[in-house]
Amino acid sequence: MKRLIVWLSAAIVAIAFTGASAQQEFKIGVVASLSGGFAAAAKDTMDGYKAWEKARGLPGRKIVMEVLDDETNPVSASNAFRRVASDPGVQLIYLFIPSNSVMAVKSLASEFKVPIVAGGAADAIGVPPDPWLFKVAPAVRDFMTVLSQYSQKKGYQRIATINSTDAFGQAEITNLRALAPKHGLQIVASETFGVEDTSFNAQLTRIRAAKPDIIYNGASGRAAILTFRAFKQMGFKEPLVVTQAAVSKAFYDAIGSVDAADGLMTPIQLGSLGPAAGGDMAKLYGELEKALGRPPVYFNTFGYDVGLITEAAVKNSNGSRQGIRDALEALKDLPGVNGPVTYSKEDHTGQNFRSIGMGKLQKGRHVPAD
Amino acid sequence: MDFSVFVQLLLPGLTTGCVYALVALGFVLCANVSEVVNFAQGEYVMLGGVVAAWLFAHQVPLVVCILLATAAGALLGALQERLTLAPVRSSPYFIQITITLGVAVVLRGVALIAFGKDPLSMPGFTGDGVFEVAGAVVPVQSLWVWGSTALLLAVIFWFLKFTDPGRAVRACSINLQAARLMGVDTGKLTLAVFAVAGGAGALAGVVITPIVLANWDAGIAYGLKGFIGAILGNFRSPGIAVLGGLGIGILESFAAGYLSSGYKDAIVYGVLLAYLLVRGGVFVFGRLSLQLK
Repeated sequence: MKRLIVWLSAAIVAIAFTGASAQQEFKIGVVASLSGGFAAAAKDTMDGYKAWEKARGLPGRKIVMEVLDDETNPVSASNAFRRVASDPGVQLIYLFIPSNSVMAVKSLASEFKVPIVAGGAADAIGVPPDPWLFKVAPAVRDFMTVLSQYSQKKGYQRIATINSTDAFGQAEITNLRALAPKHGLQIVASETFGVEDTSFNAQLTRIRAAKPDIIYNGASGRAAILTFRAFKQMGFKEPLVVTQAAVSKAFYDAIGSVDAADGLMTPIQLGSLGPAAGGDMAKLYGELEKALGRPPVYFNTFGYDVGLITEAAVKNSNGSRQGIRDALEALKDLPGVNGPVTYSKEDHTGQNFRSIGMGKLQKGRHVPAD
Repeated sequence: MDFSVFVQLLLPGLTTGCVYALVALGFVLCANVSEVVNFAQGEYVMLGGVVAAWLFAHQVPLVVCILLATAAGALLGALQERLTLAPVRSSPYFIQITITLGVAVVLRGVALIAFGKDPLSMPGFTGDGVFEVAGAVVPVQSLWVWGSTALLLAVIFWFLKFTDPGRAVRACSINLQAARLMGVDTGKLTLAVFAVAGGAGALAGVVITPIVLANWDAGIAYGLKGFIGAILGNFRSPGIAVLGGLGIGILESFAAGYLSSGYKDAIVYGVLLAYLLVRGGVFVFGRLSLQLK
């Protein structure tokens, strides 16, 4: 009898512990570009997310992550997504991968019925919405909206653009063409380039001949560096606006110094303006900076916002996949480092043009443009 | 658009064309002595650039960077021939050509791992300034590109015309079998030509890097455009191949400037297509058709 009591007690304790640990665990599957062209951005995103875990996390729950690398490849992203989504223990999935890979996963999203919080700027990630996929960052149309609004505010009427021939670049110019007339803007030159191009002289010559009031350059990576240098060499005096992805350590290294980019403008998410953004954004930025131990870069702020969205969705749900999905779709004006996050049945974009401001580089930091 | 626009398009096109010309020359020389189209040729441009920029970033003096990067290209060209082509010399041509494609992929992969994905930069040899010609603005480094290309071409053409090994290369291009029977050591000659082609490509990469940066994936574009130049030279005439390369660079720039940047590549490849159709002999490399043995 005594032995039976000991065994029963041990069994009860074991069950209690198992139950407690199951209750406390919150499993997140992550598909991230840990290698390949998007690796630096994905690492910054993970750092920002980890800062959220450190600063806030999910009270009473232990977060367990299963991270798979998509090698910045849409096919690998789909395969990695299938793997994490097939795990019945996974309650939420993060996609820290570029837009084209997110689009590849979107076609599978409803198959597994796991809520997904995704990166990427392509408009089509959030609209039309997949019931299970939630984008965070504003869409391309939002960035083009801010560019158009800024141009109108400054009285510019003639805009010239240079965009890549890929889906992102074409989405930019398509949106700008739709927005420009509403803001009294005329697109006087619309040039394109391939992401592997090394000479942009011809495009810039055409832009110069078009006599624009303001120029938008949608290049990132090497193309951003080469076009920026060509603009300088050819003596352009017009205000130059670039995409926020253009500015990186490699960009500063290649142009010689951070000061060389002073005055360059970019429509940027408000989190990158730091304390200057004010309100909840400044407060959350401070939290993030403290947790990171250094000033955050853009993708750190994005990672932190992913954490804040997770926190709100878990808090407002029973923790089930369906519950988290419903809670995500019900989020309205959730404060984020970059601005308020709102979802609806018709729109899963998350942040919109309200979370973007026109920034200007000053000694390597973004400040609000005049 | 006025004359200054014409010059603004012409001179940068000429700069890019110089690189295409050296790549095209490498294609032709290699094809003439080995009967193989070396699709890794563009990668030597990439390697020259990344090696020089990487060395410069590690405080190596500029002159040493240039010499070491060029030597690295020559060494790798020789190694490519010795390790990947010499052992399969009697294999069908398509196997040898496929191997050169494999070498190109390997070189890109190694460069990605060794030098990273970010573009590498180095300053112009005599500063990053610009100069004006007829209202057009051109980087000073372009003078180095034009000058070194002209010098290299002069040396190579002198070598081909006035030296015994050069005559042997020309003999191989006329009739490889006959050249062998006349005592030309085609094995050593092939090794030397691959080394020269690798070195020339690498030097092109070094001089163009201050203008266009160096990147692990830059070799494909140079290789393809140089390949077109080599086709225009019928994979036989180094002179026409060089002119073809220069012409492609200029055509590319004019197409983007006068028509549309969106049509740039379509026009370049359209010209190639038209040339091949008019000529009526697709993929005839010198005297040899690309045939499966």
